[in-house]
Amino acid sequence: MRKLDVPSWLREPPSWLVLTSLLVLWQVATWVFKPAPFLLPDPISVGRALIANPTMYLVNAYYTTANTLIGFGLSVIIGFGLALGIVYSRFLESTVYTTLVAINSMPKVALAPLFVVWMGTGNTSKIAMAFLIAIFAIVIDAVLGLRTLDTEIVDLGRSMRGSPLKLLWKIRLPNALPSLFAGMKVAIGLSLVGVLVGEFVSAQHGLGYVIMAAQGAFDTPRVFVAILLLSVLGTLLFKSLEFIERRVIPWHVSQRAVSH
Amino acid sequence: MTMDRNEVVSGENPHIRIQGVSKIYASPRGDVLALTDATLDIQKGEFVSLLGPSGCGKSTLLKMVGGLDSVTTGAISLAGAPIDGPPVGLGMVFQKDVLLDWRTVLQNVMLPVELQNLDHAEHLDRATTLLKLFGLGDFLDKHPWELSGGMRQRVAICRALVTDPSLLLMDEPFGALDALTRDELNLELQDIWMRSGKTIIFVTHSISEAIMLSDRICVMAARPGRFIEIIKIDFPRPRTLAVRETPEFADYTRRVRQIFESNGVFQHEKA
Ligand SMILES: Nc1ncnc2c1ncn2[C@@H]1O[C@H](COP(=O)(O)OP(=O)(O)O)[C@@H](O)[C@H]1O
Ligand SMILES: [Mg+2]
Repeated sequence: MRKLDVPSWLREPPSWLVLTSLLVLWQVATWVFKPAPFLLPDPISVGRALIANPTMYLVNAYYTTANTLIGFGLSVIIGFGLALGIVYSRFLESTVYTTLVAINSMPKVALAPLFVVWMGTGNTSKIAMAFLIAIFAIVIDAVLGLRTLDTEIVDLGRSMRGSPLKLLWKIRLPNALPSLFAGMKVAIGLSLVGVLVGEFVSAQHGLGYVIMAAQGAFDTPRVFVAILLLSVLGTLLFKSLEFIERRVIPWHVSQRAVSH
Repeated sequence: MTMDRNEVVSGENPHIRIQGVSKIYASPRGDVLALTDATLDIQKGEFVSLLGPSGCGKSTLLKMVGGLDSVTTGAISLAGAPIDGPPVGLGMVFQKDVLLDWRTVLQNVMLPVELQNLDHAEHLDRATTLLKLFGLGDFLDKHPWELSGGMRQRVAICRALVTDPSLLLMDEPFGALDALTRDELNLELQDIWMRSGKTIIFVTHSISEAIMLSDRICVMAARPGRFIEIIKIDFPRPRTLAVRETPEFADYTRRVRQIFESNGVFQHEKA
C-alpha cells in the first residue's frame, strides 16, 4: 500500500505553526464559550495588556532573569567545587554528599518563607532560593560525570605518569562536561522556579510579583502576560545553554548529529 | 620447579626480573587466583610475547610490570629497582584503544607529551611523522569517532610511541583488526623495534603472531593463570611474512599447539 501524499509541513508541522494554531484555537474558544474574562481572557486582550505597559513587564522580567542567572551561576560554581571535593575526598563524600542527598529529598520550595525571614524581601532571598533549588542537580550530575571514567582510561593516564592536577585537567574534567551540561540544563529551569517561588512569597518586583499583584486585582490578562513571558524566558535560558553546550562539547555523542 | 624454566635466558643482569609473582583479586564471590608463580627474566631490547587463552593472567601480568597493579606475592624489578608505579620511559597499548573523544587524532597522540611536560614542538614533529608512518597522515585533525577500529588502534600505538619509550607493553594491540591490517602492523612493529632497541612485552592469543614477532614466547594456561613453557624463536631478522610458510614455522606452531593440548587448552577438540 502506498503512503498518502501528505505535505511535509503537515506531517511534521513547524513549532511556530503549532503555537499560532493554539492561539487561534484559544481565541475561537473564548468567542464561542464566552468565559468571564477574569477566568480565561482571550489572546487579544492578553496582547493588549502587554502593549499597554511594555516597560513595566520588561523591568520585572529583568529582575527575574537577573536573579535566576545569579542564583544559577552561583550553583554551578559552588556546586562544581563541591563535586570536585566530594570526588577527591572520602571525608567530604561521607559528610557533604550524604547531607546534600538527604536535603535533596525534601521539597525545597517549603524553605522560601524562611529565606524571606532570614534575608529580607529583596533580591538576596530570591537568589538564595534559585541557588538552593539548583545546586543539587549540579552536584549530583557533576559527581557522576567526574566519577564515571573507564578504568582503562584511568590506567592510561597513570601509565603516562601525569600529575593528579594534569590528569584532572586533561582527562577527568573534559570527560565530566557532558554530564555537567545535563545537570545545568535541569538546574537552569529549577533556578527560575526558585526565583518565582521567592517572588510569590514576598517581593517588590519580578514576574512572580506581577502575577501576585494582578491576581489580587482580578486582572487575569496581566497574569497571563506574565505567565507567557515566563515561558519565553524559560525557553530562552534553556536554548542559550544548549547553544553554549554545542560549542563547548561538539565532540560528544549527543552533539555530533547537530555539528556534522 | 619454576627455576629451570629460565635456562634459555643468558646474560647476567636481566632488564626485567619477574620472580615468583602471583596475583589474587579479592572479589565478592571469593578470591580469584589470576596468576600464580610466574618467573621470567627479560633482557634489554628483547621482544617477549605472552601467549595464552583469555583469563590466563596476561593483562594482569602486563599491568603489574607497568606498575599499574601490585603483586600479591613475589617481586618484579626493572633495571635492578623494584617496580613502584609506572616507570619512566614506559609506553602502553591497551586492549581497548582508549582514545579521548574530545581530542583530535594528533592531540590524542600528544597526550603523553602534555602529561609529562615534554618539549612540545619537538614531539609534535615526531607525532606527525609517526602518524604518517602508520598511514594516518590525512587524519591528524579528525576525531576518534570518525575513524575505523583499525585506524583507532594505530593512533593508540602512535600515542604509546611518541615519547620514544624504552619499555613498550602491548596488550593484544592487534586483536580487533582484520588479518591483512594485522600483518601490516606486525611488520611495522618489527621495524620500529629493530630500529629503536626497545624492550617489548607483547600480549596475544594468536600463535602465529607470537612466533612471527618474538624472541621468546611465554606460553600460558588459565585456571589458575600460569606459565607453562618458554620457547625461544630462532628466526633471523628482519622476518618477512614468508617466514610463516617455512617448515620451521610449522614446527613452532605444532609445538605450541601440543603444549596447549597437553594442558587442556583445546578441550573441546578432543571431545
Ligand atoms: N580487577 C579484577 N578483579 C577481579 N578479577 C579479575 C580482575 N582482573 C582480572 N581478573 C581475573 O583474573 C583472571 C586473569 O585475567 P586477565 O589478566 O585479564 O586475563 P587475560 O588478559 O589473559 O585474558 C581472570 O579470571 C579474570 O576474571
Ligand atoms: Mg587481557
